[in-house]
Amino acid sequence: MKNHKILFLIVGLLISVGCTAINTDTAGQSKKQKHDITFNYTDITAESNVDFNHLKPTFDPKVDNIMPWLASTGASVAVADYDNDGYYDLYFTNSKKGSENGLYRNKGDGTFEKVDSITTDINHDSVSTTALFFDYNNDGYPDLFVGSWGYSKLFKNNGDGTFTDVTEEANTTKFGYAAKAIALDYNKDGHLDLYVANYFRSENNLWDLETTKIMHDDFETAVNGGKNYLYRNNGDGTFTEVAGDLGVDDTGWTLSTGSVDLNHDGYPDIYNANDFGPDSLYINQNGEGFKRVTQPNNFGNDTHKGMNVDFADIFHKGEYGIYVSNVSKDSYIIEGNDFWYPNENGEYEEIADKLKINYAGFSWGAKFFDVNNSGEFSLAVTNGFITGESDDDYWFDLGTLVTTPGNVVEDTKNWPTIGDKDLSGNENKFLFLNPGNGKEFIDVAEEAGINFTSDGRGISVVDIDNSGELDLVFANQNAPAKVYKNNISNDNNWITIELEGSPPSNRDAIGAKVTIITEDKETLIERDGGNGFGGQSDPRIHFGTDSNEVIKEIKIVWPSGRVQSLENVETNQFLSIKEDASIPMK
Amino acid sequence: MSKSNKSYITSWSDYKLDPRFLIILFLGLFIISGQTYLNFEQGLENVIVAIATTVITEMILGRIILKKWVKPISALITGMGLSLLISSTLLWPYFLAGFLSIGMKYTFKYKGGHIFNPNNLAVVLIITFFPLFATITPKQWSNGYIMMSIIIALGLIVVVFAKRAEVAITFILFFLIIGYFRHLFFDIPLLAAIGPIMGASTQLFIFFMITDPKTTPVTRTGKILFALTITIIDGILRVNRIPHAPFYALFLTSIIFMIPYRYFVSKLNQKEGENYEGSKYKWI
Repeated sequence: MKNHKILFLIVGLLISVGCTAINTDTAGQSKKQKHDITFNYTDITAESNVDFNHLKPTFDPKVDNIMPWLASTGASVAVADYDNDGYYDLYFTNSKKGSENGLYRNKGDGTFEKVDSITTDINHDSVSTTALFFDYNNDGYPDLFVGSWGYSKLFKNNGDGTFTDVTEEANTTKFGYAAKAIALDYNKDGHLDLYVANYFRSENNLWDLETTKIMHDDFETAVNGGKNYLYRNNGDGTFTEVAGDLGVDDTGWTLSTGSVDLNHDGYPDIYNANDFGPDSLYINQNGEGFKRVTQPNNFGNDTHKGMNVDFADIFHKGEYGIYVSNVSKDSYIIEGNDFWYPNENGEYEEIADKLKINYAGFSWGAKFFDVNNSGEFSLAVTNGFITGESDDDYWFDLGTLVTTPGNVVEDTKNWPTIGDKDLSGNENKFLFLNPGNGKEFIDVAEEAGINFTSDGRGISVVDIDNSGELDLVFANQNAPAKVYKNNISNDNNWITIELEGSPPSNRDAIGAKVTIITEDKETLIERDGGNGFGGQSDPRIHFGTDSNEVIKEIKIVWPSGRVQSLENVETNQFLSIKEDASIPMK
Repeated sequence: MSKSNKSYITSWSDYKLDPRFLIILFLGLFIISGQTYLNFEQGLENVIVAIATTVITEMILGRIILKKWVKPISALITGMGLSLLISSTLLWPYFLAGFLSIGMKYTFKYKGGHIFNPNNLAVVLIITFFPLFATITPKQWSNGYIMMSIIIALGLIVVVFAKRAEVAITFILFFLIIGYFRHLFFDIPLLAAIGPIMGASTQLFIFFMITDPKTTPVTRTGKILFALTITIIDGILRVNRIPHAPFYALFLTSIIFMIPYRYFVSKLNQKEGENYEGSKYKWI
């Protein structure tokens, strides 16, 4: 009997110790320790005149029971200096038929003005879901691709503040359910190509359904989504869709796609964050095609709910880590977000939990950036799925559906009605501060002043007033956009670099690799083609240098292979670097 | 319960073929599937921790409490089951669950028999108190028919050998009936209401948890009432939108059914003048 009492005591002790260890949850809704930080964000949405309000779409009444789910994406924001006045402008997508997208011109004083544009009143037969500025014709003016559920559109920037719809002549006319679009020059011909991630299968018309069997057929291994498109830029103002030929017509439920030269062979690779099934990593085969790669530890073959992908050299080793947003909800799903980082053998290991950047609720857009000019990549993650009015949440219903066979799941008729139930709504956003030296990140969103709980989708990092401080713009689903101004109180230094490629590089210099070398570290940053779900960030390379007032060297490897170097560069300046065409190509 | 000459199986050694070896074989197959084809969240190290914890705990506690070295066959099953049920990327939930399951097996006994299924009790504690760190794994089994068919086939073999087919059949039958009522009265699509019975995780629950001979009644009537109680509680929990309803249903059934049941049978034993060791009811 004495032994039994001891056992009782041990068991009770273990449980109570464990219980006291619980001081937060996967959505970060509980007690948080306060930290001293040298920056804060101010919500300037109202005074900046960004009055954009995203409206959700509606579809065929046959799928009314899960309409909140189907109408849960489409808010996004893209950034470019479309009028070349030196200040970066914003473009928001809207998703209700009849609603207008928003083009906001940056006036340079921290405020914006809404611009009448052919690019905004386009949600008639289709609805906008993603946007991407890229200079497809290398004329120095950012053009605009608006990805849609339905027919996407391509607008050529006329160079005078106006755009022309060139969708038909450019041949970017395929029907689909675009979730994300990125630009990359996959074959290094100097003309930017366009990769479009599609979610639903294109044979289903969500506004006029012939079947209700439109959903994923597995919560872990589904690959019955829409095919992704790769529009190859022919260099003459037209595109050809070549995804099937090149092996990147991924039929996973791709929500986000991102590109970077992961294996340093000079060609951009593609990582697709796929919902309900394995992500896909496609390694570029010298511009002639792509090869899907997986590794034994589930890298490229995970079963998580991929929602976003972004890359950063957070350890200053010249290697990109890959951050993939996933879904976490206490009691139901705790897969956590992933951060894949290569070891010495090139095998990627998942270390998000070690860095404490794994739990951020129902995560969507996420972006690495130097929040405090410390020379370290911090990480912003937006989140929240469907904020409902009811006290009931849909997780229970979803948790039940998960236990049913695939043919039950794929048919919307079998889904319990969502109605006004909540599904990971009202979540606090995350801003993971990187203290450097490989230490754990710290969520400081609350003390930094990012305090809204709308259902977030996209994040754009942009220096709105060219102050050398990176501001944040959030695209929120069925809710107003948010603009946050960064105010840094430390004396850290910084550099912002605008790149311009020369042939045979693309003019946007997408794919260019910039290494910033200071006394104590080297950091590799790649000019990306719009990575990040629901957001495209400031195309300029911005990085802090901490207390270093002079950068020892800035080394640029252009997409052409030319290598250009600047030494002893003063900090706290905006630097424009044009690719020196006289340098021999490697 | 009449005292008849009918032969009740009251010990593992009463089986012609000890069903535990079949269970070990089948759980082993599931673990291999989970680590390969199904890409389970929990890695091999989690499986090892779960099994090592249950086996070592069993041997230590057996030595201390029973004063003998216990063959850790049941503990091996418990560890394997925990490694399949609990989903976590961390190791300590498997250690904790393993320790709790075996520790409480020795702790919670009533009238000479176990009350709780060790796996079930540990899982319920883990998902109740540590929802941030661990959950159970319905999604990991995929929504495919292949896995389901394999589990049904192997599960049927196990329950037939373990002589617990009545428990499984009763649960399935009444789950379907209650599911149909939930469809009728609570506006749940029929296939969503009864669909879980076609899913791998529920089938594992049916064939490998509620049919545990050590924690279920011996008699046919007892088995049927036991399964019926689980099914009714499961239905009530589902209507009230409680997650992981089957696991809580089994936990609650262990309290509200098995305790009175053991008390009742114990009284019968006493009345009939049998000591516990010689009783056909010694399991209950």
